[in-house]
Amino acid sequence: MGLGLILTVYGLALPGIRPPLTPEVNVNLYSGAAMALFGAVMLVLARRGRA
Amino acid sequence: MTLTTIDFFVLILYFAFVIGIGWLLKKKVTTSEDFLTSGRSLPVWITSLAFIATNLGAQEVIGMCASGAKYGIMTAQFYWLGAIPAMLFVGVFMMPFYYGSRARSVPEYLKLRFDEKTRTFNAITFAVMTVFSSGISMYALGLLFKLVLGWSFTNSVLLSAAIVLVYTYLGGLTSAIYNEVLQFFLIVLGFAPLSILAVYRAGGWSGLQERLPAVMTSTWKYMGSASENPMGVEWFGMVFGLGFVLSFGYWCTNFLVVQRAMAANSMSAARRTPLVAGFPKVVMPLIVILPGVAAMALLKMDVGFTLPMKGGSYDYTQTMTQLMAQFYPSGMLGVGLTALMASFMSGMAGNVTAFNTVWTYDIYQSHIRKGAPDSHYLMMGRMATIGGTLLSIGTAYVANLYNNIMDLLQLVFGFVNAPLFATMFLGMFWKGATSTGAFVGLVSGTSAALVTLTLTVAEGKGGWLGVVHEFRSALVQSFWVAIIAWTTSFVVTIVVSLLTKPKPISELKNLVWAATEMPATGHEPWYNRPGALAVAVAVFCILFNIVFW
Repeated sequence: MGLGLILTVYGLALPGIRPPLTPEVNVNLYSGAAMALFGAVMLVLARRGRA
Repeated sequence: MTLTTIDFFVLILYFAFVIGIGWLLKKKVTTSEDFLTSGRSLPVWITSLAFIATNLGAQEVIGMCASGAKYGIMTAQFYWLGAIPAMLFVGVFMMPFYYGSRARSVPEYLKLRFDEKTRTFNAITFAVMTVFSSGISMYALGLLFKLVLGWSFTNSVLLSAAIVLVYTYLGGLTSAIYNEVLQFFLIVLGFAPLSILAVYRAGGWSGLQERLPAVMTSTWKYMGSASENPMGVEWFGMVFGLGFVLSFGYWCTNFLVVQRAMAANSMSAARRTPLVAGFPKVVMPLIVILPGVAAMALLKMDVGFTLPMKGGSYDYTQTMTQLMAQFYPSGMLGVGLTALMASFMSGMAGNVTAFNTVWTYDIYQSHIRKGAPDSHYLMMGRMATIGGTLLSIGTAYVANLYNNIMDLLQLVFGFVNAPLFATMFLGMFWKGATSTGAFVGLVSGTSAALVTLTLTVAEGKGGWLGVVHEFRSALVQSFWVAIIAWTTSFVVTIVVSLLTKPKPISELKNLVWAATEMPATGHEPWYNRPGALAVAVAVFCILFNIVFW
């Protein structure tokens, strides 16, 4: 989740950083958001498992 | 490829995490069993992800992407045929013996079932194989980082070796396994966006089918004969060479992966480990192979994607790194490279932890110093971790000097694992298999593999004693080496066993089918029942085969 948040913030702060072959996609933002969401789901599942 | 500050930050964060995991687990390691077998304490979701992560080394990630580019989606058969059936078999049928026998390693099971000499033969060949494999992994990492990032070969090798050594020395197998879980998620999160972006840019699956020859987007249709597909394999060689002998030889007997299941906290968890792992394993081709296929379509489109040339054709081993360089901005590039580093390290750590267990229990404790206090074996396990890592570094340098050592390693898997599967299969399911039969069979199978290799040629390699047959490709040669090795071991074991006296059934409890009560699972929900779980994985896998027919 932490890594996802770092990438999401980086993608928001520097939206102009784009790869040469998909300049229309803010890869850092979308990948970061997906990672952060995935991490959050894992965290919830882990807490439920412990409870 | 140029890295920026954030890319290095991600890499350093990952190094800190893996060392931190080792540090936190250090205080839980008080006995040799804690260090070498995790004290059989891990839950199934941990062991199942480690089960596939330890196999998901960077050679596989880069190699599978390269094969996807060269051979198309047919490469997925290395997963769907070359892994899933064997994983289901080991979980449902073989794990009750591995786990129920209380053996601490695969060689130790051989000692309990047969005798010390069979155990020792396997322990030595396995130990050599793991050191080679770990060293080749380091060599490939050093080469890649030198080529792509301009880092020195020595620095890349020593850095990765040092990090793996620290966390495995501190926390043993548990540390290696938890890090493998981390590495699995990193690999998926690091490479899945690449697959999505590459396929999206190539116009989706229909775009790939339009731009590429039909054989590149089909798994089974062009396997009627070896000349119909670029892999040079027909269905028989694929099903029996890869799908049966090589696959079962690896997934059912290679202690590197079996060790992860044996670290589980119960029989049920141990059996479900390879089964639960089957679900992500079925999907992995979409993450590691599909980008390679998409790369070939992108080369035909005028989008600016390029791949370096080597010896008159594309340098397919650079497919993954070229896709990363051209699809990932800085930030995500750091994640992708960290995922690549993680995949190298998971393969390396897996081999080192398997080596130190086999060395400590099957070689050192059995032959060099018996009856010492447990603290001595804990110390030896730690020393073996250092020794194994140093030997791996040495192998990496030898590989750098003689780069055909990688071809040798591919074949070593065939002639260590393939005959061993025949020995294991007969040992577990036939009470009449004798110790003499097993040993003679195993040695015969291994020798038959070596003889086949020295008398046949593929792609200009092999045939050191003469050339009786030339195979279409090195891949087909490895299939047939494995088929011949397995068949020899199987037949010789049966013949010699029929001529010698087996152990009494009273000595075979929990070691062989006829003397073992299979755990009852009828009262469990379906996802806890190995049989039902295996059927679910099989159906899932078959669906993928149908979709990509």
